[in-house]
Amino acid sequence: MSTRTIKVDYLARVEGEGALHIKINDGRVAGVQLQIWEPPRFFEAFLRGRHFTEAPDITARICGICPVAYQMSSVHAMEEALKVKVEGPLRSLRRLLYCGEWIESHALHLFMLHAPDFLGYEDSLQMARDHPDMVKLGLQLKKVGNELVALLGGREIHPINVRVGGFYKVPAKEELAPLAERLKWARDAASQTVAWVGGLPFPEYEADYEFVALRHPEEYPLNEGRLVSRRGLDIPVKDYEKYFQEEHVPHSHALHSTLKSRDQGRGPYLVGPLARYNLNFDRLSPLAQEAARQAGLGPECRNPFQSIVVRAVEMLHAVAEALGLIAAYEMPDAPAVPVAPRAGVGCACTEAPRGILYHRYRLDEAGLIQEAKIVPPTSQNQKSMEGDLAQFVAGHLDLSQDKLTWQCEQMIRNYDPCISCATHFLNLRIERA
Amino acid sequence: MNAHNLQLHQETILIIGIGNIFRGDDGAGLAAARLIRELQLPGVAVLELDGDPSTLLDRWQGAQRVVVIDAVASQSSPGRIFRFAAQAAPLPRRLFACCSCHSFGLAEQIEIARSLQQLPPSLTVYGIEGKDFRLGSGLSPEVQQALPRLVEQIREDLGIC
Repeated sequence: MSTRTIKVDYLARVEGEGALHIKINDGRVAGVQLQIWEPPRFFEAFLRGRHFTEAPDITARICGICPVAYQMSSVHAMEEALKVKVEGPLRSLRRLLYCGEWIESHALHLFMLHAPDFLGYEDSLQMARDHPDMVKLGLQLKKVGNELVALLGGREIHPINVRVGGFYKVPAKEELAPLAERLKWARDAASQTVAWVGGLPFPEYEADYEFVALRHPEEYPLNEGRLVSRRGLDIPVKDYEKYFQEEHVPHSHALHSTLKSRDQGRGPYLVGPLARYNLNFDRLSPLAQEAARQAGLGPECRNPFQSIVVRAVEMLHAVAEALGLIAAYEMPDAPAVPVAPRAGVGCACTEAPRGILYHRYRLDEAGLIQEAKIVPPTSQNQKSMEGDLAQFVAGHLDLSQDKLTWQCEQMIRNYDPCISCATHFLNLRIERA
Repeated sequence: MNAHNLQLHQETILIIGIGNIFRGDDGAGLAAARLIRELQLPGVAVLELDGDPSTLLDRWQGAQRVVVIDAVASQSSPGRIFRFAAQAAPLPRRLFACCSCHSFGLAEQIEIARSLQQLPPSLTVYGIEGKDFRLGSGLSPEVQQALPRLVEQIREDLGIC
């Protein structure tokens, strides 16, 4: 029997630590293991016994790239448990803050981590030597996102201004004016980015994903909506755990998630930009829809390598959305609505840059957390990532070891995995004779 | 302090501490920066960067003299101090790219800035060897003891004794 192994002992340009091991026997893929060895972090246990008001700041610490997502999912879940509704300008400010995180996170991944793959560079440093203007553009776009998060969140990393019921402090309308000017520049820069990434060479590959994302009656999903899938799932977020299940696998510190679908039993699914785009193309701003079409992308896209284009489209959408929110903003009378402790259970899903982020909390009468459950996007995508790798490798066995290994790493970066979030990550090995 | 609030004058010396206070000795750069801030030296601005250093290029825009302090893990003795004139040559990546899950190590950030011609005219990087980078707060005694010496060396270097 001939055996071939593809291994990457340390995956570069992903957030966190992990490895990949692929075994090929007699020209067939015998096994794919995405190994995540970022240590478990036990956040769900830290939360037990803490007051409900502490959850946004504690969970923001799970990730330096998407702290806003953790804050948003936690406050929405708490507000459901405590029977509080946050509407009007406070809701708009939360959406604006989330737009900042999307811009920042997508710009970082697209320009600094993902684009070098398509242009044949080891890293963004090499890319910066040959494409300094695009790298500068990317860093400036990221900066606009950072500025939005810093203004509304109090600081860029691990923002501190979000609370259950609203914010600690809200900006006056005129404080947002300078940002609107920066965002107008970002709108042109993001349009230019969509056109640029649309012209990159993409490996040929498509998969029959079960896309899962939020869907809102009017908006491209950020903070709320029903959970929908490509194969007909349409449920309120409170039913999440009836359909989605987490399980331990021996080779990973991150839990694997599966979805129970009506016809095909329990299987992998995909969350994130590609899922949101396919399920919500009609909710994108007209500007983002037009840019996508110009870049050669229809309302449906099943090539994960083109997720770089989808991220650019989403970045443009987030900029346009932010401009709209700022134009319509009127400073609210109070920075938050009153919240009183009570016993209850609340859950919420919001769309983190990498996909749906689920939180559930159970509180006692004093508002102390009795139980917490957090399901980050990267752990939900792990099974799809392994499936994609198996299918991709099976179709590209004629590639040299170096090229195949390179494209497997590229495949993983399509997901923009955040390994730090998923552990509770990467080295790559493809084994063949 | 947020850099956006910093008014950098041509004469200002900018000290940037980098690290994560929740990863043991990874917080050494931040601890050194705090000691310098406490001295309230005229013409010196101090910044602390937590986690992702990818905003470094923005932070030093307009500054003529920049000092960056970060923890290193080179298998040498804990508390050992390294000094690099980074405007002249790349940092050894072995020392500055290893001990965290930051998207970019300090060495890469400086090289990207060099490619984009956004390095300050004077950029000195101090590294301090750490002993323990596991989860948890607090510095190991060897690193703690080395901090005053590091601060003294930076002051001598900058002529701000």
